[in-house]
Amino acid sequence: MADHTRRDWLIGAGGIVLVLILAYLSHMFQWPRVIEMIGDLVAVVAGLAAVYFIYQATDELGGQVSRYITIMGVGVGYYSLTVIPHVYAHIQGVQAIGPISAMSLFTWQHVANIWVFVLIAYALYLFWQGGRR
Amino acid sequence: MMDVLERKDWYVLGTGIALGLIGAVLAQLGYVGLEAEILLGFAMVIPILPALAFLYFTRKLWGGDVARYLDFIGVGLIITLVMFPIHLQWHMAELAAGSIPAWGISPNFWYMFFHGMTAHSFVLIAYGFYLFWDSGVNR
Repeated sequence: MADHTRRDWLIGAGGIVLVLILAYLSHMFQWPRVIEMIGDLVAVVAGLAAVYFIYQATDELGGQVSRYITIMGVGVGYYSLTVIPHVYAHIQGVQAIGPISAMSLFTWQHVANIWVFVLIAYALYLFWQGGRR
Repeated sequence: MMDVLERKDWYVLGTGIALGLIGAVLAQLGYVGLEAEILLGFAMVIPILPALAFLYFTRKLWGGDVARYLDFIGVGLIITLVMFPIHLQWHMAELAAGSIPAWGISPNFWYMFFHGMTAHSFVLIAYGFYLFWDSGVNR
């Protein structure tokens, strides 16, 4: 098995195993609800890391591929940013953050999330069409 | 990074930002009810379907290492597609009935599982983009 294949499986399947282990530990030790924030924080950090990798990749790759992954990067970055206030509102159970109602925040996040995946679909469509030329 | 984008890309990006802000303002003014907000949550996964279709066509066309990088992004998207509606449904049940076991398993397990899988989907997507970067560095 090529080295990278082994690594790919470790990251892909290994991550799922890790999540199951943590979920089991949470069940066994009745971890408090705030622990779920760790998952959200990891998601935010990973999303921002994706944006960083894309920024670096556009420098290296150039051309239309840079364009495709930049569009995806904007989507992923935007998704990451919307998670932060959403998680705060959920965990704290607040009805408002300053003058902004929780409903307004959640609506913004949900509309933004739809658009994130529209962006990713758009970028992948361009990627596909780019390869056909 | 943003200078690689074309004019129509900016229109697409801008439309999404504008729609989000319009939705937020409407909700702030009381025009968006809980049911509509929940439906919007579920609607998030709809564009993932064409995204996966385009990803499949793209990986088939490009092949090689690009297919491998896209596979990570694709698996991250699939995890989101499958897990998110169940996750959201579980939160809604929790709102309605309180923090009770689901399928005999404690809420603590489900908190960590759903949010852990969300994190994992992002890690996979980030790794796919890392591989794109790495491919450029190692050319």
